[in-house]
Amino acid sequence: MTATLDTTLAVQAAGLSKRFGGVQAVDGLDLAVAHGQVCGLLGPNGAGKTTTVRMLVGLIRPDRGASALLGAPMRPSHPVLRRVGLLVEKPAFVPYLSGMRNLQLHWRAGGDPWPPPGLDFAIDIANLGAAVDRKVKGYSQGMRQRLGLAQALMHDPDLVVLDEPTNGLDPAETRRIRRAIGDISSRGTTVLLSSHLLAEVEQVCTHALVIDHGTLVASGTVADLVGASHAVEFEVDDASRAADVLRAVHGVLAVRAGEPPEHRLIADLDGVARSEAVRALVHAGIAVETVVPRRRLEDAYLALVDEQ
Amino acid sequence: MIVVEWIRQIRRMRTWACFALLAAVPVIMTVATYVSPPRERRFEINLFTVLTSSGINVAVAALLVMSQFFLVVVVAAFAGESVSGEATWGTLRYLLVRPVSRARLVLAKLGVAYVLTLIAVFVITGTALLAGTIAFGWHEPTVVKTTTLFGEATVPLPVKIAIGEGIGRLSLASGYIALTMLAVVAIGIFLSTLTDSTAAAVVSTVVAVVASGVLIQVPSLSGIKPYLPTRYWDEWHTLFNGGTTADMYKGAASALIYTAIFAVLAVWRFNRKDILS
Repeated sequence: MTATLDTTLAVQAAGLSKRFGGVQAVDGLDLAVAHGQVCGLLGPNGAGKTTTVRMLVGLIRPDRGASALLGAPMRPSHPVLRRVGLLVEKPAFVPYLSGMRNLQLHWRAGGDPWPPPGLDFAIDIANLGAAVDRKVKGYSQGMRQRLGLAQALMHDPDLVVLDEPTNGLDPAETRRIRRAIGDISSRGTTVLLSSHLLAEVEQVCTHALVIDHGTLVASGTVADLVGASHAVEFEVDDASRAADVLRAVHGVLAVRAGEPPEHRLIADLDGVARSEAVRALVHAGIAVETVVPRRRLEDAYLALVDEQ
Repeated sequence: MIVVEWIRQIRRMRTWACFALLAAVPVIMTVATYVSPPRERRFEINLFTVLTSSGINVAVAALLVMSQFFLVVVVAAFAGESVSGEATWGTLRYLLVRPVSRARLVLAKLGVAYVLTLIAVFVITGTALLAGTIAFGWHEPTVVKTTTLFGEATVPLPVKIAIGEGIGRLSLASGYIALTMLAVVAIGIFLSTLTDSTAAAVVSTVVAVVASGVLIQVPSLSGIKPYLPTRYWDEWHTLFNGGTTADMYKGAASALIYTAIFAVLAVWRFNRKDILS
């Protein structure tokens, strides 16, 4: 199995599968993340993101399949994890110790002398100020999350794996974390970011892997996946008449109903400008309220999420 | 990892609360005995009735009272919490991807839990000796010696032994108890790797010890009696009541075997575990 793994990739999995009781959490998952990418692992809640991440770092043994981090085939507690920074689900600390003391204990547990090489940058990112010397017990969710990020970054890792890093945070904290991820990747660190939020992946990532029911549904660059497609959504006063008009326009490939169907419709335009289509509608006496280009992944992804 | 685990435990209020509790019992016992000493009755002489003769006797009595259950609970708390506590906080997954090897994590926790156990035994013996000496003085301790009278009836008689001899036997008793507790630590660590719930790990460790004690009482199960972990726990009494001390060797061997078995089981089991906490 390991023979199929490509050691030039930052993260790779081949046929990764895991079953918990009656639930197939991950089912024959293949994925690849190249060095330097900020790759989103996108999927609705329960898609198998966390199980995947835990298998990738050796916390869970896959039933079948194999994976590799930074070219090293994974097994529990593999030394290559020293070059990986990790935030799995929520950050976790010893509550009765200070933030700094927690970082210290975590670092020394690996047998290395304090301080780690990237501590200053990590503390900077965490942006905790004097609170870093207070007990973690009193931290807000956002502070814990940032301390967790500092813990994942303090050793200057080559690869950072972040599992739902903005879950449960308020908008200001979320923005902070996302900006921090940008800072990390600008240093050349590869980032694998799991998220159930399309907007988050779109905003932060260069690449994305979409998974559902434990299998890979789509993968590619974010620009390709969520960039503008040929599909355009029109909001009009009379959708059925507008559909007839658009079908007659040269270059309109297909027309389908939107939501609600009496006022919205979606048309695939090929070789015809949006303004051209609007002109045809207005000319036919149809009032046009909005014209919005659809993004490629959106329909498919929202359908996945709606299934829940 | 050992140092890290040590810091984690020693900076914890709960650890100190346990030690304080262990220290409080011998003090209370001493004060109570000082206020109302046991009445001397002929033909009823045991290690409690001779308690007032010396601080060393107080320490012996404290070990008698506490080693059966109270100490077990504290030791079970140290050991049972060690892995499951990290699982409850969620810090376990971060330690394992640091990475710390699973075997090293289990053995470091076993080591630190055992150091805390040694301190716990020392706290009992030490405070009892101190409190007892303040209350009843630094005298030659009394041991009970069974004597055969007129060739038939056996009668327990109090016998004084030298202070040095007394301290020696007290140290031996403390060491023996500490050794039997090592098996409890190993059982507790093993159970701690099975669950993410600290309470479940601690309680099941205590239950295991109690169950062993109950099984020993069942006459029809006398066949398995020598193999139960608590079978030889009381053998140190023979140091002070004139019995034969030969079974202490068996007790030491039994404790070491149980420790080895459960330490290996804990590592084996933890190595195969999916970390979902």
